[in-house]
Amino acid sequence: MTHSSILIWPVLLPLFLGTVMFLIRGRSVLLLSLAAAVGTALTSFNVCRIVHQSSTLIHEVGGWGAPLGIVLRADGLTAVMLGLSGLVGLVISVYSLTYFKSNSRKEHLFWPIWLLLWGGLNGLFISGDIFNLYVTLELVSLGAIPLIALAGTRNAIKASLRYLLLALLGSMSYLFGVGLLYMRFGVLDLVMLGNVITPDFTAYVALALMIGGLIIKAALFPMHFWLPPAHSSAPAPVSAALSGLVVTASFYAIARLWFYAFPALELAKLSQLIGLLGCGAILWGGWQAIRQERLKTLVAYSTVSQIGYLFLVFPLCNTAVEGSGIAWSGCILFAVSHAIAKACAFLAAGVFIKVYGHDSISKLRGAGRQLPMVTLAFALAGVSLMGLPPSGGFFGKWMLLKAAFVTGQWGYGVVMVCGGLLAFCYIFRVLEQFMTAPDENAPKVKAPAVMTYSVLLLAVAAVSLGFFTPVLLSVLGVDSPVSLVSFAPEALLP
Amino acid sequence: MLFDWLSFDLLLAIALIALAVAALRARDLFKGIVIFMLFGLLVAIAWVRVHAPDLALAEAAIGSGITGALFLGALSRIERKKKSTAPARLENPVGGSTSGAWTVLLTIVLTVQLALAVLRGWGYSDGLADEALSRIDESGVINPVTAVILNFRAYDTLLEIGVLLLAALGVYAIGEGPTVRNLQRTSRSEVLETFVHLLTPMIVLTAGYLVWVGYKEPGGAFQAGALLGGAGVVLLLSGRELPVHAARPGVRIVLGGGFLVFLLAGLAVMQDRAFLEYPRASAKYIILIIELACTVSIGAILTVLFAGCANLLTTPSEEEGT
Repeated sequence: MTHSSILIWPVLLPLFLGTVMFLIRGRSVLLLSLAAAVGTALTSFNVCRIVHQSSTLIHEVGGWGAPLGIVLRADGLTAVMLGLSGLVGLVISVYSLTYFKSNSRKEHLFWPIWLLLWGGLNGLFISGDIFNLYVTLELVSLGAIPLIALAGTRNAIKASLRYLLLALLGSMSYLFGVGLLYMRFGVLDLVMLGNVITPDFTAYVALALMIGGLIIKAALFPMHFWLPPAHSSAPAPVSAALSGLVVTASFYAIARLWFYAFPALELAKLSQLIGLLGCGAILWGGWQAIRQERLKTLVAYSTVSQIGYLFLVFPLCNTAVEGSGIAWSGCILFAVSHAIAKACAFLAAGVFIKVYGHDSISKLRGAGRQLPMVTLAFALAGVSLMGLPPSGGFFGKWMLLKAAFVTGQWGYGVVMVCGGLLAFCYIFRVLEQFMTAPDENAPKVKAPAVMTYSVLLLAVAAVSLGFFTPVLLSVLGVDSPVSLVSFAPEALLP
Repeated sequence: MLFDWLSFDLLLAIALIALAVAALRARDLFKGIVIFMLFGLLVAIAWVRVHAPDLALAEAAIGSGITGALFLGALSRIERKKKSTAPARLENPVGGSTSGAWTVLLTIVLTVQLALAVLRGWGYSDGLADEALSRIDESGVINPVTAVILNFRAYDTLLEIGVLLLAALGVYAIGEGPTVRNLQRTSRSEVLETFVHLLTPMIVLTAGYLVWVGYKEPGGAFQAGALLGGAGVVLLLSGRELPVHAARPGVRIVLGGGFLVFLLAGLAVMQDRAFLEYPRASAKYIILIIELACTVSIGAILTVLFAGCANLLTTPSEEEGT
C-alpha cells in the first residue's frame, strides 16, 4: 500500500472546475470544459497506471486515518472503474461540446452539474468508508436528476422527479443500514468493518437495508421501472452518462460492500434471490426492448436487461468453489464493456435525434446510407451488447457462463444464452431498418463531425476491449477479494 | 425527578407517533403541512432529550422551519395552478383505503424489524466518541460536533455542500425562466413591514453568533445557514426584490462561494499534507473561514430552493402561457 495524494485528483479537479464553470460564463466555456474533461480523464488514468505498477493507493483525508477520519483507497477494482469513468466521461464531454447550443441556458447548467456528477462518481469509486459512500451516492443521484430535467420536456421532468423520489428512498434505506452498522460495530471504515463484522441479526438487517436501497438505484428488476422513462427522456449525453456510469456505480457499491464489508456473513440464500432477480431482469428487459418503438427506450430497456448479468456474480462467485473467481473477472469485464457500449449506443441515438428530430425506429429507415459512420458505431456497440467476439461483452459473458458450469448452476447459463438471443433480436430490429434503402427523395443530411467521431471512438473501444482483457484483468488483480483466474484462452474453455 | 423525565419522554414519544399518523392521514394538504411542522419541532425536542443539541438546532431550523416553508411554497403554487379557491386535497391519504391498510401493515412489520435490529445491536460498541474526544485538542475547536463535521470528517461535509449546490442547480434546471418575479404586494401592512424590518437584522445577527459560537458550543454553518435561509424566505414573502436568478453573476458567486472556499482551503494546505489536513496552529481560523463562507452559501441556496418551489423564478406571462 502506498500513501498518495494523486488518488484524490480525479475527484477534486471536476468538482473545482465544475464550480468555476458555474461562476464564470461566456467565451471561456469551451476552454474550461475541455480542460476539465481532459484533466479529469488524465488524472483518472494516472491513478489506474500507478495502481497497476505498484499496489493499492491510500489517501487519508485530513490526515486522521481510520477509524476517526476518512480513508480513500484505490485497489484494482477501483482502478478499473476510474479508467472506465475517465474514458466514457471524456467522450461524453467532447460530444457535449457540440450537442448543447453555445451560450444557451442548457449549456450553462449542463457543465457544472455534469462535472459535479463526474467528481461524485470518481469519489464513489475511491471511497473507503461506508458513510462517505453515502455522500458520494447523494452527489451522483442529485447530479443525475437535474441533468434529466434539463431536457425540459414534460416527460423528462416527470421522469426525473420519479427518479428523485426513488433515489431518496434508496438513500434513506442505505443510510439506515449505515447507522445500524455504526451502532453495532463502531466503525465506518470499509476494511475495518470487514474485519470486525460478525453474523448477527443487526448485521443482516443492515445488509438488507443497504443492499435493498442500492438495488433501487441500480435499477435491478423489479425496481427497474423508473429507469426507461428517465434514461430515454434525458438529453443524449446525459442518457449515456446515466446508463454507462451511474447505474454501474450503484452496482459497484453493492459489489464493494458484498465482497469487502460483508464476507463474514452467510449470504448463499440471498445471493440466489439476487440471482433470480438478475434472471428476471435479463429476460424482462430484453423482451421489453424488442417491443419498443423508440430507439432510446429500446436502448434503455437493454440497460435493464444487461444490469441483470452483473448481478449474477453474487450466486456465481462463490469463494468456496474452486475456479469461481472467473465469475468476478467476467462480471467486471462485462460491466466495463456494457458501460462503454451503452454510452456509445445512447450517443449514437442522440446523433439521430439531432439530425432527424426524432428517434422512432420505423421512421429511421435508410439511416445507414445517410449516416454510415454513426450506424457503424451503433452496430459495433450492438456487437458488444449481443456478446459476439472479439468484443469485451463476449469475453465477459463467456467467463460468467463458464462460472455457471464450474459451480454447477446451469440454470443461470441457460438464462444468459436466452438474454443473448433477445439482444440479438432487438439490435437487429434496429439495424434492419437502418440498412433498408432510403426513400428516393429523402433529403441529404449531415451529422456534426465531433459527435460522429466521438461515438465511433467509443464503438471501437467497445469492440476491441476483448483484446485488452489481459491488461484489464491484471489491473483488477491488484488486491482482489477473490483469486482471479489468470487470463489464458484455454482457461475459458468449459 | 427521574420519574418525571420518564413520563415526559413517554408523552413525547406518543405525541410523535400521533402527529406522524395525523400528518399522513390529513386530507387537507395545508393541515398536513402544519402538523408536519409541529412534528419537526417535537423531533427537535427529542434530540435535546438525547443530549444532541446541535441536531436539535438543525432539526428545528431545517426539518421544521425551512422544510415547512418549502412545502407551503409548493402548496401555494399548486393552488395557483389550479386557479380554484378549493384547498388542495389528497385523493388517497395514506391509511385511507385497502392499499393504505397494506402500507400500514408493511410499516409496522418494518418498524418492528428495525426496532429489533436496534435493540439487539445496542451496547456492543461505544463508537468513535472516545477517539474523537481524545484527539479534540488537535482539531482547533472545542465543540466535538464541530470537530467531527469540519475536521475529522470534513471531506464528507465538503461533499454535502456540493450536494446542496447541486440542489440549487436542480431548481434552475427545472424551473428557471427569463426574469425574476416577486410576490405581489397585495396588502402593504404596517405590522408586516415593521416585523420584517426588525426581524431580518436580528436573524442575521443570530446567524453570525451561531457560526462564531460553533467552535465551542452547539451551532455552526448548517444551523446559521438555515436561519439565513429563513430570513430569505421572510423577505421573499413580504414582496421584497431579492436577486435569486442565476443569470446574475453575484447570485452564482454567493451560491457557489461556500463550496469553492471549502475546496480551496482543503487544497491550500495540501503541499506536504493530505487534502483538508489543516496545520494545527491555524485550524481554528481555517474552520471559521470555511464556516462563514458556507453559512452564506447555505442561506442563499435555501432561499433559491424556496423561490423555485413557490414559482418565483418565472415571469407571470410565461406562467400564463402554459
